[in-house]
Parts: sequence; C-alpha cells; structure tokens
Amino acid sequence: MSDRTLVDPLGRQLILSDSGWFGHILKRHPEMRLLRGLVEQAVEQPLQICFSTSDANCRLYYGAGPGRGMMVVVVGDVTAGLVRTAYKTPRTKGVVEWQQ
Amino acid sequence: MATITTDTLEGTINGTVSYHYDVFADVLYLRLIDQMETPSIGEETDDGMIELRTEDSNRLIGITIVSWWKRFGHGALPDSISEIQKRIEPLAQKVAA
Repeated sequence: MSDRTLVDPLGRQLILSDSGWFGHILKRHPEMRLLRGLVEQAVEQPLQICFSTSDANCRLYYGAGPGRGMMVVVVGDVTAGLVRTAYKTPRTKGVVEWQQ
Repeated sequence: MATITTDTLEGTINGTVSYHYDVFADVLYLRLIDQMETPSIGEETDDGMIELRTEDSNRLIGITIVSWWKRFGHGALPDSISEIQKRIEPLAQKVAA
C-alpha cells in the first residue's frame, strides 16, 4: 500500500496517507481493519456527501459498508486535501452537499 | 542538524481513558482502555464530535474529535505536554462518565 490520492465526484482531491491510515485511523478505530478499499471507494464513489459539523472545511463521505445496514464514513478536509479519519455508521447525518 | 517532528501524542487519563492525538491531522481520539479492541460504530453529534458506541449495547466507549486543537485550543500547540493533557481531560470525562 502507499499514499493514495482520491478524487471525489466534485473533482476534489483527498490524500489518504499510509501514516494516517496505519498510524492513526486503524490504531483508534480498529474495526476499520480490512476496510481500506471501502474507505477509498467512499470518497471516489460515495452514496452521499454531507457537511460535517466538526469543521467547515470537512465533509462526511458516506459509502457502501462491509455488510447490510452499515456504511463507511470518511471525514475529508476538502481544503487541506486530506482524509482526517474514518469510521463505520448505520445512518447518514448532516446537511447534504451531494447525492448519488 | 536533525529535523525532529512529533506526529503523535498518546497517553492515559486516570487509568481509564486512552488518548491518541494525530498532530498532523489535528484529530483527537479518546477511548475507554478496556474497550480498545471492541468493535464500534460512530455518529457525528450536532456539536461536531464523533461518538463511538458498541454495536450490541449502544454503550459510549469513545469519542473522536476532528480539528480538536483548532476548536478547543488557543494559538499554537503548546510545548508543554501537561498543558495539552489539561485540555484533553475535560473531554475524557465524557467518555468515562
């Protein structure tokens, strides 16, 4: 694996770095183990993109999850061009910016 | 001269909550120490925290805070680790409660 530059449907680039993935996201969200492919897909082929309440520069990319009723969410900083974190969730939340 | 960069700060609070701060991405992860490997699901709250809960009992076991220092800190990240710990502690109470 190496750092990946992901492009969302609105043409914005987000980098998912190996150091971010292995050094931080997996360490603290271990349930995301084996889901890197789905995380990348969530940015590139999301079901929905919502505005995050954590930071005006961040978006929540909701993508297909590992099983029924579960999605993967990627928190992406569209200004810095960086994936901040990712987790699993059963539902979308937030004001929609883009929808499939 | 060597360039040294700190990209992670990690520790425990009161022996019950573990914290992990991703300096580069400005993301603070808090989790109950006895739930470090428990699978969880998350949801962003209206005040911008990501609450992590167990899938079976919906128990709160962690909080992830994006843009932690940007939102809760003042100025540059302090040189003192104890200063940083003081700012983390109130948030850790939410998980430990």
